[in-house]
Amino acid sequence: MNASPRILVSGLYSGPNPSPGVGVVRSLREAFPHADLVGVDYSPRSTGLHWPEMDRVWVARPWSELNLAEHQRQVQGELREDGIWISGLDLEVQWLANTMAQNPRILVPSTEALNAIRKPPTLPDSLAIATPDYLSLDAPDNSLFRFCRRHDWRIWVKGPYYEARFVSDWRQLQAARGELQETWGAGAGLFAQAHVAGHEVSILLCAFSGRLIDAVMMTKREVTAEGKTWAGAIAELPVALSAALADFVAAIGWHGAAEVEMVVDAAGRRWIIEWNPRFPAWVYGATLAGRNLPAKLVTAVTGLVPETSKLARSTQFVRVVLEIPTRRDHSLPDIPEDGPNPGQSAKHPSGMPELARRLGNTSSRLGLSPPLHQGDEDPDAVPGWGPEMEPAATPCRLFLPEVARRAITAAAGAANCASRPALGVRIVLSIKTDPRPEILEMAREHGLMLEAISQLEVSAALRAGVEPHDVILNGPAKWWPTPSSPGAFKGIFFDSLNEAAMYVGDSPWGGPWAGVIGPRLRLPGTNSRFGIDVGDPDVFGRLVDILTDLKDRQDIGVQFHFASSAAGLPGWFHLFSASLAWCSLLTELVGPVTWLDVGGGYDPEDWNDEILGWLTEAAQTAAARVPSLRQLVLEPGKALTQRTSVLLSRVVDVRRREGTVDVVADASIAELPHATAFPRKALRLRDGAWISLVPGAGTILGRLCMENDILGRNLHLADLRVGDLLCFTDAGAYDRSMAYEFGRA
Amino acid sequence: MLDEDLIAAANVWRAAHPSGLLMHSAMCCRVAAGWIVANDRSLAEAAGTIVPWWLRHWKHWGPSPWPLHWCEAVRLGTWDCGVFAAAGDHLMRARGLDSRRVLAIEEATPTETQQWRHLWEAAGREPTWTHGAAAYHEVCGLVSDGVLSIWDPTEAVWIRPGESLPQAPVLALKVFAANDQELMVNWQGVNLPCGVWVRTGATGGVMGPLGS
Repeated sequence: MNASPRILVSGLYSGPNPSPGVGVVRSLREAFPHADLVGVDYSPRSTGLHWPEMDRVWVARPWSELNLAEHQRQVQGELREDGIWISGLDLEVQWLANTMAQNPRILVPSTEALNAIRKPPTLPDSLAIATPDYLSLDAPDNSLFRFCRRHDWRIWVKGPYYEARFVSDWRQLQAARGELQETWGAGAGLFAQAHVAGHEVSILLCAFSGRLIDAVMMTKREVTAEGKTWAGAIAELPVALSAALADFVAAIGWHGAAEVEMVVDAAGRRWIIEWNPRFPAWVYGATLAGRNLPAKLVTAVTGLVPETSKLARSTQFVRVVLEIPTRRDHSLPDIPEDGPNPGQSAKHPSGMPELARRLGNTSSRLGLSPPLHQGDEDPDAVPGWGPEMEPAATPCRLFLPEVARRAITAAAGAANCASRPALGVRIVLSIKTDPRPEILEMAREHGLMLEAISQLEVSAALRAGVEPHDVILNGPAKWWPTPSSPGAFKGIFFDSLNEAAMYVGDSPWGGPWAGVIGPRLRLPGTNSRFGIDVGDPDVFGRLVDILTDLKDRQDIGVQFHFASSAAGLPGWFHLFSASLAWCSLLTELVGPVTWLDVGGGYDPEDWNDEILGWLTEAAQTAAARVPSLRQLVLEPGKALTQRTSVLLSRVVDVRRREGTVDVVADASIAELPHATAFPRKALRLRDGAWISLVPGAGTILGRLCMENDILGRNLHLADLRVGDLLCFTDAGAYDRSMAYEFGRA
Repeated sequence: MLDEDLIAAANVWRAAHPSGLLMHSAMCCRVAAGWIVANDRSLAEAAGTIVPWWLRHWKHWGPSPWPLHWCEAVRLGTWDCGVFAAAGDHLMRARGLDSRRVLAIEEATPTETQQWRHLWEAAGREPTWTHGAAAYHEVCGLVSDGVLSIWDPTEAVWIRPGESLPQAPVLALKVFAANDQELMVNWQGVNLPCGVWVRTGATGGVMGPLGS
């Protein structure tokens, strides 16, 4: 038997996001000092090519230009009879699995085994490693938006093999999706996945024909800004996990190395992040701990016993930065000229995404249908639509009074149902979300209170027939421009301690300022410019002093507003719970807190599907935790008015570009200032019916000379013609009240 | 560190008791002690963590005046480990967790003890918490399902058997029992007798009670 095995090791990049090749080579050289080690990569910029422990390197052409059949012959030529191939590149593993997995000396799993762990992986229950929630990026935008809200906007956008971007709002998600689609192609299996907070832990394993040879666990102790391992601690796997892993490896016939990346949350649950079909870059850290898995794999293939077997030197490892001389026969290329941009060659252009496309297996495993090319009729988009409603001039915002009435009626009804004898529940409509008189009057008719942030809004409320004692004042400049109330307000929530001090004195009209006065809280952990920062103990102490002065002349209330559409729904429920803790503490320190005013803006879907149904539970919880409360007030923000308008617009230009069609509409971000803040339906009128535009590659451009005037992305627009009527839903609320004059004169 | 030096250090701190924060009878301390619990409720629960991780982000480690009241503690710029541990214990109990007070002896180098001396003296205090190459430290214990986990609120890290703190090896521990019946706690597979200094064996040597 050859005592000097020839081993080809690919994936040598050794930068901030390294491949494992150098660690594999170091491990093999320790065990087999006389082995013939050949380093393989696909770019001369792969820095690990210069690691001195390789006898030879092979720099193949980038995947983007390789003839795969010829490359296969070259690989087989290099392997000859007795060579071993250890791949450190995810997509090379895929290619080798497709073409040469029948050769057991090529240490890659079968295609079937790779399919079993393809992203996002779902492992058998016996492993007790859960999969974080995920959703394909090919899902409808409203589903994706809901998914992100329900996971507090702590979301990873992931590629089919590697690449992940953390996003925390819709615009970031759109941008990340665009970048990854650019890399991997549309429909390539991109997905969004919920972030799991916890400690990062990985399992390193190697197996031969379904037999688990060894496995160890590594806990990260230092990470780079990208989250890559920079130091770690090696430990044994728990016995039960090891046994379950051996069973799973046997079941899928795993062959070669793998890294199972996980997060362990505060409750000790394991969550899988990725199953990588290769050694991890930190593999030599395990070797330092006495677990040389690359050597064990080679032994399994060849029967060769390592010539040297070093004992564990440490169960922990760190990385350091080393300068090493380059190989004489591989000089470094210049950083490519990049026009006016600073040179950036840190990326190592081996062409992996191109390989993915050429392998043709980037299609989703997520089980979604490909995008339709024929939209469905959507009769609910514009209720009561008839030809007489077609506008003479566009763009035109169409108010939908029945939608508004339904929303207000439902909110008032839910509040009535949730009210208890000792604790009333009321809804307050924020005037700024739509100050049109019809809406304010509807709110008054249905017993809603109004929230004003200026005296001009107070005037609007009074004009709509609302009495001051049904108006709540909020915001940082609520008395601007001049006080306009003939009497006390229902409530005043102060935004600063300076403002609070004012209410210790007399009101302009002589009587009490309001039925209830209290602080708007800026809760710890929320990134807000508003309210009293109770996370500062000094500020909190002064708040207690002021409320103590106020309590004998006013009922005390507390307000917390934070947009659930930004915090996410679970995050907002947590803030509600935290607000009760502050109410309880203020009751203990100052005296009874009788009002709690919460809200700040919900997505209409969350409001209808979750919040309205939760009101009864909210009232019960609030009453139990703060027994002094007499009134729970919910301010839904945009949720009540966002769907009460649609924007109609005509196509003024159709632009064909490579493989797709964009259109220019006569609407713009002046009419839809929140055009890209959340997804909305875009429809076209055809034969008198509104048809949803389906996903595609086209963009609806606004009419303005503004780079960001984009009204819709990722839409199939090929059938549109100049003059076609378009409809954008959800054009009420801030899209109405913040619309502006621009480019008209 | 030589075993006799560790034993000598344990003797120095044989009667050491976990630090506690005092309450004024006036409103000031009720506000401060209530505030820290409400703040914890807002921050730590949102992060899904068991322990009040945010203390370390809020206060720098450094000299603190003793005795110390709650109203003074929340306004201090620096906390020593005793304040961190007392606050951590207060918050974990407020969350309904089964908290324990734990003392530790860490190994320190001469350069470290010199630096600490300067830091404490600059604040007008005596660093009585160092003895030769040993440093006294206070941490928190958390019992769940009969198993003790030790958490250092000063560093916001867990201390596991056989491992060191980020700064130094933990040479000995002393766990305070929850009641008279609790004689022993299981520290992640290692039995620790309560109320006595126990050698951890972190830098070699046998784990077990330190003789006086």
